[in-house]
Amino acid sequence: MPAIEINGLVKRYKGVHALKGVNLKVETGEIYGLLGRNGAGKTTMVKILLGIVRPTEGDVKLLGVHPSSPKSRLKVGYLPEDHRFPDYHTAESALEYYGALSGMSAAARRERIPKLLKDVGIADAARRKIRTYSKGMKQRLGIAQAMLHDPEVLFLDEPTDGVDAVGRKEIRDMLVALKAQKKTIFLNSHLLSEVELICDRVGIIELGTMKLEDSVKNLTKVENLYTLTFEKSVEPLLPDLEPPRTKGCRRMGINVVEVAVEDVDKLNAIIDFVRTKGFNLTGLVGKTQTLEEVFIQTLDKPSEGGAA
Amino acid sequence: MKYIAMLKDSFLEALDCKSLYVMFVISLLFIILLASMSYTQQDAAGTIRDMTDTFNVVHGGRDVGSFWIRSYAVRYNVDGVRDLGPEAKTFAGGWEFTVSLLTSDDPERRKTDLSDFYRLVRHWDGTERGMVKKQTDTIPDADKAPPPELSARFLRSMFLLRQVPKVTVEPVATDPDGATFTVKIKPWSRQTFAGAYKCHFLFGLVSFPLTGMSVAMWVFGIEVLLSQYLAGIFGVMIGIVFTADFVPNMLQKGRIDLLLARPINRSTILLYKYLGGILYAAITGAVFIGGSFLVLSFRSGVWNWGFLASLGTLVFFFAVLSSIGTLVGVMTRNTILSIVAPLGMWALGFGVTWTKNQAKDLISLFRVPDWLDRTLEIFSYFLPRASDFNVANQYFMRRYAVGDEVLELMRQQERLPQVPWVTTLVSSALFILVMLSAACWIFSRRDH
Repeated sequence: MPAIEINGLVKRYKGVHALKGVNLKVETGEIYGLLGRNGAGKTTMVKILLGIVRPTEGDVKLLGVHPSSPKSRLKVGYLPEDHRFPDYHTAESALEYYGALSGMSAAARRERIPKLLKDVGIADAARRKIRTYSKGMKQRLGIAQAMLHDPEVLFLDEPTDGVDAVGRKEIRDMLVALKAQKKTIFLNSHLLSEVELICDRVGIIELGTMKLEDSVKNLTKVENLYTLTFEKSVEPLLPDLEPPRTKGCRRMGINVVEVAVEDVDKLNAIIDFVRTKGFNLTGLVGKTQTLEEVFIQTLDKPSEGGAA
Repeated sequence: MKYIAMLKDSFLEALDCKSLYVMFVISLLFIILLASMSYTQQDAAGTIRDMTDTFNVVHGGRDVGSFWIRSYAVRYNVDGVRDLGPEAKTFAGGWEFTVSLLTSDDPERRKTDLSDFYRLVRHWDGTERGMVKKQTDTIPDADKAPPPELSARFLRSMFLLRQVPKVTVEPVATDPDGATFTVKIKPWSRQTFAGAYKCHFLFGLVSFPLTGMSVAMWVFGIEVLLSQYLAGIFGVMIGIVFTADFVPNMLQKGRIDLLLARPINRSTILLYKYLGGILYAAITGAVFIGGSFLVLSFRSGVWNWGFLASLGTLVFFFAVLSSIGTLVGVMTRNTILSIVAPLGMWALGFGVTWTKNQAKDLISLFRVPDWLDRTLEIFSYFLPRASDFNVANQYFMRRYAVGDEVLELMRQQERLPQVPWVTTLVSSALFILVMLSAACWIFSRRDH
């Protein structure tokens, strides 16, 4: 059973078509990243999954249960974007409160809360009022409340927002550890480098339509473009690497050249050729692109007439 | 567990805005004021004279808002006050004495004095028999001298109404005017003997006799003031103001998401927020009413347990108003409107009840068509009815203040305001149900 299943999801607000027939499936144990510009429909989709917003059309299931049933949220944790804790709570009392609401027993809360506060790095401030916290501390508390009841599915909307570089690394490590525990994580983030590092699969949503969806590996891979590094300057070799021997070449440094080929056989033929010319290869790397590049390219593409 | 957590959250919210502390401090100030009251016993003969000085009025009007009173220029002599028991000095025994009408030596004036007394007795008799209901009704046989037995019954009734349940009044046969009586009385308790005590306030700085009033009635009056006016008006208002932001705060963007992502029904979340407000009112009310009750009771010896019941009526009334605030809070997410709406409805309900009572008088006086009365009657069923809650409140308190015997007498004389239990409870409960159902329906269907 998939952890998350969305079929033909449509959401219309007054005058706004937020989601236009989105389909999505996230398997158990997967880390899924949803990317999109502000207002693309990312948060709406998460809120529909959690029953916070009602869908206009379509079928949605979270752990096999429709979100209109509170049972669907029994094993789900959520960190909303711009969350606001009641500031009369301390971190400890807030976790006590949310833990009880999530159905945790008093004993389980007693055991889990101190550990979690330590894990997110705010144990020292556990008994201070939340109103005295910095944004980063509130974010850490937000992550703690989402993970409190050991959920099977975790929705994180901008989890590293306001967190410093060290904190971001800690959160990333935490998510990787959760993945090792076979937890399903649904991540909304603007920090594409982060998504690239953590996620198994990524979806790019634009104006309520899923524009692209694939594994990070596939999305960032560029077919038949390689960077070759040599012992010495490639200057004398460049005329021989021009078409038709290759599909194109570009000097990237004194001893580095990027070549485009039709297939792997062609690449091997080129390697054999340059060696016969006395150029020894010290490095060969298949060219990739960053997720950011993929994201920008995807959003720059004209619409192909997705869901109405 | 989750339900307790939700109530605890509301309690923390109230603690954080310091409103609970403010309420506790205000309560403490009143409790100290009440603790500054003490009572000393008066002379028995003087007390009896003071009491008989008040036997010159007739009052009527059974319904709220239609009470009337008529006083006559009648005064009495009290002679030969004699102790009937060893405990007489402590007001626990009894007394025998003669009560006679005080008349002028001038024959013409004496005639007028007697005529006033006879008219007073006839007027009282007319109200007893239900023949005089309004001030404007004609008094039957007003100018005829009543039989001495009737005058004796009048005096007996006057003693009874002043919480002296054991009383015998015999006309003295030798008085041709039928205006002299032998009386034996035994008060119900020391505290219920009208005029028996002097009150000292502010730890003795101010002293005054409780003329014509028993300590029990004095305490009853204070308790009415505390529960009906201080707690019932100002306390409820402050409670509404302090709890009005519970729902709008909960609905704040970023905060509501954290709640709705939990495995709890939305209606449950809202209802427990509402109950959190009720809990706040119950706690502050319990401190105020409970503290006042203990201090008043210890200082006066009058343990009016009915006063504690007023906490229930107060909280119930607060629940009615708070349900309006909850609905408006869900609809608008605005704290100011959540304050204005319940207070406005309260004022409207008060206005309708007042107009309804006035309309009744107008109808009877000028024969105005009763469509207005009917319309107001129907309208009043759908609004918070503060006056009915006040009547219910007094019902409990009066029971302990005057005792069962006097209460029974008042009931026989139809001098007890009728408590519209069914309409008050049912219409108020239905009102809460409708408000909360609407609030839950909107909250459940809304996107956040």
